[in-house]
Amino acid sequence: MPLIVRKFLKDVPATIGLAIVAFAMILFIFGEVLAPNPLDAFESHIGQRLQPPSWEYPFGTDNLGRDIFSRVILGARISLTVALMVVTASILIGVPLGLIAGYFGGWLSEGIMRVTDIFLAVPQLILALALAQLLSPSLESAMLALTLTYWPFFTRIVYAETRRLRTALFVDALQCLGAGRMRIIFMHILPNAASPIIVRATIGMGFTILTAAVLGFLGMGATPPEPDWGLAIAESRRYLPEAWWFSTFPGLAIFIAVLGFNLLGDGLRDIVDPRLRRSR
Amino acid sequence: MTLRSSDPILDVRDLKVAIRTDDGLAKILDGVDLSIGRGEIVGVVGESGCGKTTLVRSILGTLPRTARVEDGEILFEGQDLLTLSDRDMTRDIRGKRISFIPQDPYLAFNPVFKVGTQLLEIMRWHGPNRLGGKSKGGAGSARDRDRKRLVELLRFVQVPDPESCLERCPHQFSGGQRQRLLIAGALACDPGLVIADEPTTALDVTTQLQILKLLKGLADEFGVSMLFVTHDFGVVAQLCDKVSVMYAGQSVEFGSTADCLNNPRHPYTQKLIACHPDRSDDLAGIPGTVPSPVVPPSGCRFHPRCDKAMPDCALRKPDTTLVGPDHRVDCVLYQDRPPSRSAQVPHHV
Repeated sequence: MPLIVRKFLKDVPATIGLAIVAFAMILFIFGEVLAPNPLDAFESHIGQRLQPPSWEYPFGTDNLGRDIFSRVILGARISLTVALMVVTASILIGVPLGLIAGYFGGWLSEGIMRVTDIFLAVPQLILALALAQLLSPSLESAMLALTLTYWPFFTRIVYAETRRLRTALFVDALQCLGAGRMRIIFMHILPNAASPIIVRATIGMGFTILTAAVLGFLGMGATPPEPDWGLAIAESRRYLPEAWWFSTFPGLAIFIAVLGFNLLGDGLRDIVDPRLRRSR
Repeated sequence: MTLRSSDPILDVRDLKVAIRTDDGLAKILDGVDLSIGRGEIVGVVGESGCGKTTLVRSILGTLPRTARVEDGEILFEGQDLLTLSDRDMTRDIRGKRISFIPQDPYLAFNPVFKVGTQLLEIMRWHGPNRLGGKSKGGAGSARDRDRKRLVELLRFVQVPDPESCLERCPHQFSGGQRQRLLIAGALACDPGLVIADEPTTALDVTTQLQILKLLKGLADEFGVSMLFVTHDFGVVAQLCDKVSVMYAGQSVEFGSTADCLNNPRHPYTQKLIACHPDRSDDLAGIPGTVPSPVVPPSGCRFHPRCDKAMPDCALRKPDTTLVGPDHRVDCVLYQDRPPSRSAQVPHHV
């Protein structure tokens, strides 16, 4: 087994994180097959509303008699789709900007980095809320809002890495051996900056799931009847504390998913950069 | 020793380069002359900060953006490199016709790729069917050919087990091995000129000796010319046919290695040789430091540190004087000699 894999497996929290993320991915891909009552998840059965957990409904039923267990499983797809889309889009926007700003310097770099600073200075949730409100609440507008608030983190990281690598001797040697600028930037500097990008993306997944849930809770994200976790918690508020299962299980799902990505991200960071043992 | 040819492969004439700094315009190079004949190894010697690296960068066209060539020409195979666009330099000159061996082999490879990938990449950019290489079948066979040639080269530079070493990462090699790999990479595209920027400075002395022997053997074998930048006269003595001594951005002496080492004319060359541990019992040193290029001394830039300085030295830059066949010195001391022993080089004012 390669050393890096052994080192990773020795890190118990990171391994737990990896297991959680793997499990979430399975739910993401096979959710529809795994959910015991996929149809029940959307249809209302007034006769069986707010049933406590039982063998038939392990997580109980909600205010419309829908199976919470199935809805939590199906919710994984929504949360992970949002997280993947937001992080991917943020990388696509943030990484090239960071590379260009870091490599070229001058007014171009100043311009990009000041814009980045402005986006970083605005509190993420507030900007996301404002945008979601502006674009009328929907999952798409939530994703757009989260992307707009998350790309600057990638720009910052890639910018710092590129600044460091720009003066590296191997970049110099490549230039002297006839490598074009774009080739140096994308084929040689980018792979060297890959590990902090991956770490940030992993932690960003968890963070995005949480923020998306907040937006859903506030009614700025997913719209009923989607089985979104944050939305479910919002719907359950009126039935607390009697129907405790209604809010508990979607809440646990959010908690575990976010925890999984954060543990994995921290573990990756420890491997990539052992000097930096710190969680965000 | 080497074949002499009337037309040099590289001819740098009166090169002047300035860099914008916060303190003003720094004249990093101020009238550098250098010529390299075909198959010759020419050493460029000088203290740190005298402009050796700037000279290399000017030839390769990779000066920092704050720098500008103010005057002069760099003729490579008769073509002025200063008139070429960056695009043409990238495509046709750098790495292909003029190759480069970097200073520190420990840092010269991209740490995330396999050695073979990186060396083959250079060959792929400059390969003959670089433009027509889009089709899969053709590109594959070109890659095989490149690979074969690279393995041959690696055998030549005495890397053990060349086939498998292509599949390894840079950190798995020692410094000497990496330098051999870089030399192979520099020769990969069959260049006319190889520029080596202090390629042995980061290595220990035994490895250094091996690499020097290797370079010398390769220059003979491949008929490649070499510009060898160093601050070590010992290295020059072992490797170079000719040597150009630079001080504070000016060429002060140029001649065959034997002439310059055994009969140095310029006071700076004399002092520099006296500083070498092998050549003197009491280490002399040169008082003072290399002057700032922003406010260089007037006239001959060495005169504040020169113990033979005359009032004339501060007034104007000395003319280039021939003191022997192919031995040029920029110093007032030799200008006033009888005409039989000195001659003015016409293109220098």
